[in-house]
Amino acid sequence: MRSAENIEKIIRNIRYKASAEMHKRTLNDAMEAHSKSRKVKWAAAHSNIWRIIMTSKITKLSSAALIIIAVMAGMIHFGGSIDGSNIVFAEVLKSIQEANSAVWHEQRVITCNGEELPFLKSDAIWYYSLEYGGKEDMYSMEDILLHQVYWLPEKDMRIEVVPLSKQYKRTEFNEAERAIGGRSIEAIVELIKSEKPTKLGRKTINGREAEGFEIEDSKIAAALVPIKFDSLMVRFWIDVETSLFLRYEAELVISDRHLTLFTGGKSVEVKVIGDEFQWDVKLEPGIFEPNIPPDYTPMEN
Amino acid sequence: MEDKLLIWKLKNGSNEALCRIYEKYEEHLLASAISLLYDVGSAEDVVYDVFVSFAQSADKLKLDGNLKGYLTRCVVNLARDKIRTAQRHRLGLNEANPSGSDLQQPSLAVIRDEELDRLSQAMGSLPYEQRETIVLHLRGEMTFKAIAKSQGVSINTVCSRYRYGLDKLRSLLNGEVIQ
Repeated sequence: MRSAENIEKIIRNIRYKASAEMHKRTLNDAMEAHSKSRKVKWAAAHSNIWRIIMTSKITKLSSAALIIIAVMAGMIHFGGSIDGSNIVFAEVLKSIQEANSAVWHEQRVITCNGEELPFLKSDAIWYYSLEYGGKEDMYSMEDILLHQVYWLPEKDMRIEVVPLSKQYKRTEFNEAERAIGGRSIEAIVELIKSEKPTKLGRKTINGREAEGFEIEDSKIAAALVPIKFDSLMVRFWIDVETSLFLRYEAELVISDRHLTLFTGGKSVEVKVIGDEFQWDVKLEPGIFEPNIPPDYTPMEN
Repeated sequence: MEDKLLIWKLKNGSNEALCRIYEKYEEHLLASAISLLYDVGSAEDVVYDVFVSFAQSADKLKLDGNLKGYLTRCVVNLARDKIRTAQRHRLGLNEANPSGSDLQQPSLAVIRDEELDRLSQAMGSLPYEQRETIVLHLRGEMTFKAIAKSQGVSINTVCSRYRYGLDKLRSLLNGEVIQ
């Protein structure tokens, strides 16, 4: 005879092993649901932060890549090497002219006192076409599209689109951008001439031999980055065999209040790394056409 | 303590914590659902729904008691919904099924565990309110007071449901042993 206590014990402790199929299906779907909800939560929780960021000047930090574009465009328009004597740059120029287009990846990491600010970490995909201009798609680490910037020389305009806040902004090129856009050869010549790259020697990057150069406190950057920075250093690595960019690294120290807003006034270090270059890729013109949905509103300055 | 840590990790995006919670309570939840529904397929559906929904809303989770109790209560709530839906869709089922089990009788072979099979069959003979009270108290670790509050009945009603249910189970299970 089973006592009431015995039955209670059985009910308390009884278990049933799920079938392998049910176990796998539940776990997979639960993990997927969890990841999706995290993305939604992230978007909601950080929308305010990113709204501030997007409406501030911080997005101009993407100009680290613009510097590279400027160097490329500048060399192309200038038609020679940066310092007028370095044979490597002449080869780079020729290779870029031949390649005509590029797609690459860029990562931005912001730290303060050596501590990373994870909510400001982002990835970007860059598209560059000599014919159409430049475009950047910026993503959070959760793959949420945060920001798109179009540099359109034909329209003499930079267009920013922020899906997170459903906003956009059209801005006429500033002088430096216009120069890089090819409208003023003289201006770009002046800009490029002012850069004094230092050779860093050679190293192997992803199995390819690369030659490095470093530019400190670039005037191009100062012209392109409307955010005030305390210091800036750009390194770029050129594939010795193809004379095309393999990687660039930019390091900026910034005390601008738009960024120190998140650090209690302490200056931040921004590290930008561009890599995974693909040259001579076919880019559809549509990539460079901003399709702004009708419910998006203009962003305030 | 481990559960609190797991929940903290889960809220911080850890899929590993989600796996650990699932693996820790899967068998318990499934047996609870089978006890209520006496049907492995329906029980699996309930546990699936509970767990996916738990994963979806883990960020908003605020636990009053322990995690095991919380998940069991979710299973009980969903099983109750399932039974109500089944009742709506199968009018007259109770006349055809005087034992009180509200879902279709499954093949007994489906429940692979003999003891659980006997228990579920016996549980299926109880009115649903008694079944639910027993599962909430013994498997969900809820007090009679808490059950009374959640069911909107008096504590005496809950105690009676529990006592009558357990007495009937004892007589059914002992009867089976005698046979």
